[in-house]
Amino acid sequence: MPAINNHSERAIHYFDSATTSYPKPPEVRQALASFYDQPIGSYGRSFDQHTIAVSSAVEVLRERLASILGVATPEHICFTDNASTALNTIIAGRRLQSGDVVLLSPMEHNAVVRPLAALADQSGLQIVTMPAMPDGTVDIDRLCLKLPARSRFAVINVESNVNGVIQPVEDLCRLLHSRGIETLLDTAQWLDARSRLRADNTGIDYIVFSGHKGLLGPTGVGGFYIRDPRQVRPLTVGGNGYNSRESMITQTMPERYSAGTPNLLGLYTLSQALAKPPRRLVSRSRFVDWLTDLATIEGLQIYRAGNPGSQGFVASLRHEHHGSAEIAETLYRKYGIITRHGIHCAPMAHRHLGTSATGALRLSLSPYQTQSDLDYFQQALFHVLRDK
Amino acid sequence: MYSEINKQVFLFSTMRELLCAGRLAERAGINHRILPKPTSVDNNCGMCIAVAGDACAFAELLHTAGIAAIQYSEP
Repeated sequence: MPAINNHSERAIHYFDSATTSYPKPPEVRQALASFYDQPIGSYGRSFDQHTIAVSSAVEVLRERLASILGVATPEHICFTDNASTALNTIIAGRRLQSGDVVLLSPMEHNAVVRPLAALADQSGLQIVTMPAMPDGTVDIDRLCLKLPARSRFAVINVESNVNGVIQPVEDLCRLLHSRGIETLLDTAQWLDARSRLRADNTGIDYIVFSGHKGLLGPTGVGGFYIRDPRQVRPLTVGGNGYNSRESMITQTMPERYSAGTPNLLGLYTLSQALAKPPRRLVSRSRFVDWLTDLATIEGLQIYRAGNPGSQGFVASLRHEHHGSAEIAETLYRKYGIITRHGIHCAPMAHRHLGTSATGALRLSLSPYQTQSDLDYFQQALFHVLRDK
Repeated sequence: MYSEINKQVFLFSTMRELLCAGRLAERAGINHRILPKPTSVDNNCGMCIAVAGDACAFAELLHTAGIAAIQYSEP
């Protein structure tokens, strides 16, 4: 049994990689520490050797991401400040119209819900939640039977940031594609350097990603893949070092969605994060078994995927008598364990799970965490609940 | 005014294509440099790849990789 550290020893146990990943790979820390040892200009503007080397790394990054996502056109991968900006770019730029129906999985984050709600308010489009199982998995059979007329666009959160359920995206996207409905995947919580999608094979139209979560890069970097750039008007336009005489927005990719100085530090660092991605030290099945074990603690309810094969490395819990904020605070104060309480910017998901009124305590693993970290968490939680 | 290698100049549609072409040249050991586009060719923003020696080999490399480029000979 692992020893429970006293928090006064300053040992920190990070179980909040769904908020942002920690620790970062050594390559990331090295890149961040040394980036400004040389003068670095801007992508597309500067031809000195240092800027060219860093800019080339951005192109390698685009290629690595294309390989992970299963797309043959790396130039259709564009970078933004974060996944929310990428989602806003697509949702606002797609020119959805009054009467169009947008389908959502029940597990969407506010990064999707809010831009769509704003659009619905302005344009009168209709938002419909797809039928789903109790854990939030979209029920494809029921969806087939109840697909609303005028469905034009669908957003699917690949992995829930609340209970970690992973959607059957390929089957879902094939169905939607066959009915002429465009698909936008939000992979913010799901994507890591060892993930594999087959977006070209399944005809997925848009994929949004975050750089600082599973990809283990720094904050300030996200982006999207877009199959047909003619369909989406850029959210921001401006200088990009390309065709400067032209005042109209270019169709050329990736310049169409590049305005202003990009976050070269972040992009370069993310490219280094993908160079040697770590292997997880706790397997999916081991995590699932551990969650099952955790659920035996009296009064504790675990929110997770119904099918063990669809479980990501995120789950939430709630105790019948103790609030998630109070548990989170005690875990941190007494045991140095960092988690996240509340509704995780995902009120829609919490409504579906029935935890809207109370919120829940979320735990999420980094690839570096071990079985002994899980044991420590379990012991600490047991003590916290016993002593309250 | 430009360096001695600035004999054959290749222009690309996008920065990405230029950088990919630069990596190809690097890997193939082709003597090249990334430079601002010569004013005589285009005084817009942007860069080009200047190649000394066998520009045909570089052009062939680009063709094989599916990278479109416009080639100029510097006087």
